[in-house]
Amino acid sequence: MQAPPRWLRGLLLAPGLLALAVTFLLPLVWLGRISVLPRSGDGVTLPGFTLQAYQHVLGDSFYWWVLWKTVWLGLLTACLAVPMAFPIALFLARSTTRWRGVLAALAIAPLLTSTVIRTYGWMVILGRHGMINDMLLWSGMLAMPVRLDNGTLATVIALTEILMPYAIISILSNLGRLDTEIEQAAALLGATPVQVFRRVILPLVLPGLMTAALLVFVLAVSSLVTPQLMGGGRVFVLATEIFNETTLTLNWQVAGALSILLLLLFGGVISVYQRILQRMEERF
Amino acid sequence: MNAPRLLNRRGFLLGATAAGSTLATGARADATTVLTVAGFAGPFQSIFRTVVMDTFERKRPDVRVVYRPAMNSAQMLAMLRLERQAPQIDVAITDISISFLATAENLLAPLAEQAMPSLAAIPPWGRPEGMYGVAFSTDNLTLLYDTRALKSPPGSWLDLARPDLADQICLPVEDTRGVVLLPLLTRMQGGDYRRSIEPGLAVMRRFAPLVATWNAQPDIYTLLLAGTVALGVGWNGRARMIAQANPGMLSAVIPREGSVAQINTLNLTARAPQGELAQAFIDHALSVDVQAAFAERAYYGPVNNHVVLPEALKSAISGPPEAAARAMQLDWRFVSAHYSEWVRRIQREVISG
Amino acid sequence: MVDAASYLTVQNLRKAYPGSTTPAVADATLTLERGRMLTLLGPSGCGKTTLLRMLAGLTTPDSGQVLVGGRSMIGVPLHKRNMGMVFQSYALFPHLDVARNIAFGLEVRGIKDAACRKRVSDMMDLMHLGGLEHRRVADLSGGQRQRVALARALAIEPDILLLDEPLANLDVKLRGIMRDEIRSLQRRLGITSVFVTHDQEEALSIADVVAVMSDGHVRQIGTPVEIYDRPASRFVASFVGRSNFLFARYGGSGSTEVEGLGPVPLPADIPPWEGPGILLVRPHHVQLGAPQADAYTCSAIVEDIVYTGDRYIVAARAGQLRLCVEQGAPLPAGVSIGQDVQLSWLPRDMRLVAEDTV
Repeated sequence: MQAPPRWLRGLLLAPGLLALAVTFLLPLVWLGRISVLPRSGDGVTLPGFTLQAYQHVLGDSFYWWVLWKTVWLGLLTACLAVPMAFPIALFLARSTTRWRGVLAALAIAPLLTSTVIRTYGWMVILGRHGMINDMLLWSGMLAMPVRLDNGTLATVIALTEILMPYAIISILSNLGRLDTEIEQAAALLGATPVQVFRRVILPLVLPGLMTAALLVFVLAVSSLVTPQLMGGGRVFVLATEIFNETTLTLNWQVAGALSILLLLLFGGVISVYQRILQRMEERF
Repeated sequence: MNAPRLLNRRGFLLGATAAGSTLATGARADATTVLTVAGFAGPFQSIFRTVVMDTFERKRPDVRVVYRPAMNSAQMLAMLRLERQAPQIDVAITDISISFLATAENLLAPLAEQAMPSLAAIPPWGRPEGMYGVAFSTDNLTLLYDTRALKSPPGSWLDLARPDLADQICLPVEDTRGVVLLPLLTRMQGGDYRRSIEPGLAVMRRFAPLVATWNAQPDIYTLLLAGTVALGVGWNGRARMIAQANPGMLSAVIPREGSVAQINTLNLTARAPQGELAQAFIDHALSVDVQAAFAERAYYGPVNNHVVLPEALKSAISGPPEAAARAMQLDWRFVSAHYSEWVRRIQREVISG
Repeated sequence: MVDAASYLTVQNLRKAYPGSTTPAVADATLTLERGRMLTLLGPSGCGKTTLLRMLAGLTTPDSGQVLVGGRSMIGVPLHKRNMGMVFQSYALFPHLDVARNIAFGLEVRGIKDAACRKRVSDMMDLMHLGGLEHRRVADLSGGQRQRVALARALAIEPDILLLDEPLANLDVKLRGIMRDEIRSLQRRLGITSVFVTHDQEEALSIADVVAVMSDGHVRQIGTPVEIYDRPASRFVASFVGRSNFLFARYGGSGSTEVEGLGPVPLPADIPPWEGPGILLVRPHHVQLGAPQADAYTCSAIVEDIVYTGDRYIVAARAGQLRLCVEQGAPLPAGVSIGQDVQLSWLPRDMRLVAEDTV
């Protein structure tokens, strides 16, 4: 069979590239343009070019603090969601029960409901008159309800639960490398269960776990609804900040600059990650 | 600046469908002239349609008025900016700070005094300098409380610092509510917001430890109805409408220190397709009858000096005489220019402080 | 009770998978001397792999016993069995290079540094893997992977080497080469081995002892010669090599009445039997053309001729029987499709085989 000619391959790629250009590249260019427009003191956008918004953002310790909170929230969520998703994924991959399909569907089913609905679910559970508080009050462990909702804790809990299905899918798709025969081979060669886990399972699934962690991190960092609904206005992350600058203070220049910086952050994280993964592949 | 919180999801959807169907019918009726009004989605839209648009259409059978709903001020501003070269909107309903901004960005056109008799009845604060638009209605900031949780109604803004309400207070002040509350609190401390809002911020910082949430989601009225919080700040018009629909659950109070209003404006867009008609429409919207009817339906304060409201309605809108007498009139040009700065200071010095 | 005669002993080993009406392995019993190679031969689904996996400890038997050097292996965890196993898929560690794959069993045993390196390089030399130390497993050819899998299994000096259809994924030519290599290596190292295959030629050529299995039962255990020359049952005969089966009744006094053919003389070593019996004549024992002295002779019509390079497979109809004849090239003159020919075989080449019990 002959490979299709170059022009034909180009043609086949064209619709995808076009869609990407229209839905991603164009808005990005637009965003970049907005971020460099001058803005007068009373908020009027003027024609021209200036890096004022970037200077403003980078020179303001508040935004650095927001950036740090964002990264911290993403890391924490990834560190919680991935270890919790791993046993579930492993179980789903290994299970031979005929309920396996149902169980897999159940694990991923939360994705069928919108994030907003699930976040409200957490508000009900964590609220002042929510399930947990009610239970603690009823059992006498608390005299007054404690604040579980409206804050970083609630945001992290909700984000972890909301993003876990993504982690499960990501890990599950990477468990293909983990053939049970390979583990059996290792055991027969004399490896104890701990050694099998450390020397075979872990190195084989680590790239998958890292990918899942990256996915969760990126989704957590870019999430808006959950920090907004669960944060009680206390959780300042880049996404909420961009939203506020866009819709409340109408400072689109700063919103644009923050968006571009967030994109750069993603790019940086992904490239660092790539390098770590590569090094890992080389080491094992 | 998403000032009138007259929007909720369902209201928006209804509004959107309504707008869609009007557009569809508008297209068929090509013999008539179409006037396009852009404004807030939600309850505001439905009241505006019956009270202002329908009456105008009755007066001018040759005209069909189409309403384009916007989710918030940002979307409204985006629409105006996007259509700068070829405007589709004739009249834009915005909150007052957007009116200042749009005027400065040359998105609006001045109103022709002689063609609009109602303008003579508008007080000076309704037509401030630096703004081409004109005020249409006012809405007062109020204390909202859960009547089931609070035995006695709150009477002072300082009740937001009541320790017995710890963790039951909702203070959504990252928007216009905060921006109008700051000058009011500053005045209560004997300060002048034009010089410094520091006194107001100081009071807000006293509220901070008691606050359950700074971000009312989906809105403070829902949180109060659900019993999630017991006290908060919100807009009078929406609160009274909701209180009426849910008797015995929540109530709105204008505290004795007085209140401060946010203002919705009507604006003629620059190069509007139907400029003259638009001005006739705005004039109609400012007329005594329409103003009175709108106040009755929406509990929004009228802007026409000649409007006389029944006493009960007057106090429902402006509070008891003592409070109404202490109503604060803001220099909106100044406030608009400081809007983002104040929001940022609230975020940094109050919420995350 | 370590004695040479039974280094590996399997007693009444049984395994039934849940939901299956027939056991995968039923009462398997066999013994293997130290240093010998046993092949488990049978069609797919016969239970040979299940039996091997029970030896390896990868599958838990329902009942029965496995002894290695007198020590029971039942319940011994995998890592304490000291068995080398070569999987059909090779099951190499994809994240390790060739040298680290081979070293794996040594490292987990705590053998390191010089001793480990020495052993790895010895194994690499033995398996002709020189120069591939740092090659990634993914970059190896099928034959190289096979060698790495063997080297890895042998590096730990296992008590028993288990091979699960190790040649199944190789092409025909390489399969022959690897088979001979495994055979000579096994002899040289004197390592007790069990080799699973469905290929009878592979089984006969590589093994000291062959166990033929079907439907979960071990049908016959014996040397390759015994299996081929004296098959215990019709199944064994038909699975190992080509066969002509004659359905016959004992006719008395050294003769038999073959269905569709008539009376055929019997050799002295076949005792009388009751009822219907099955006689086996291997196709290469049947002669075309001029009969040998003392041979039974019948006439037949040639129906089909297949040429395989070194010989001809001729199908001929004698009476109502279709017989298969293997004839070295060239064919006698006059043998072509539709022609009448003389078929003959010596009575001593006939075997009485049992019908299989299911």
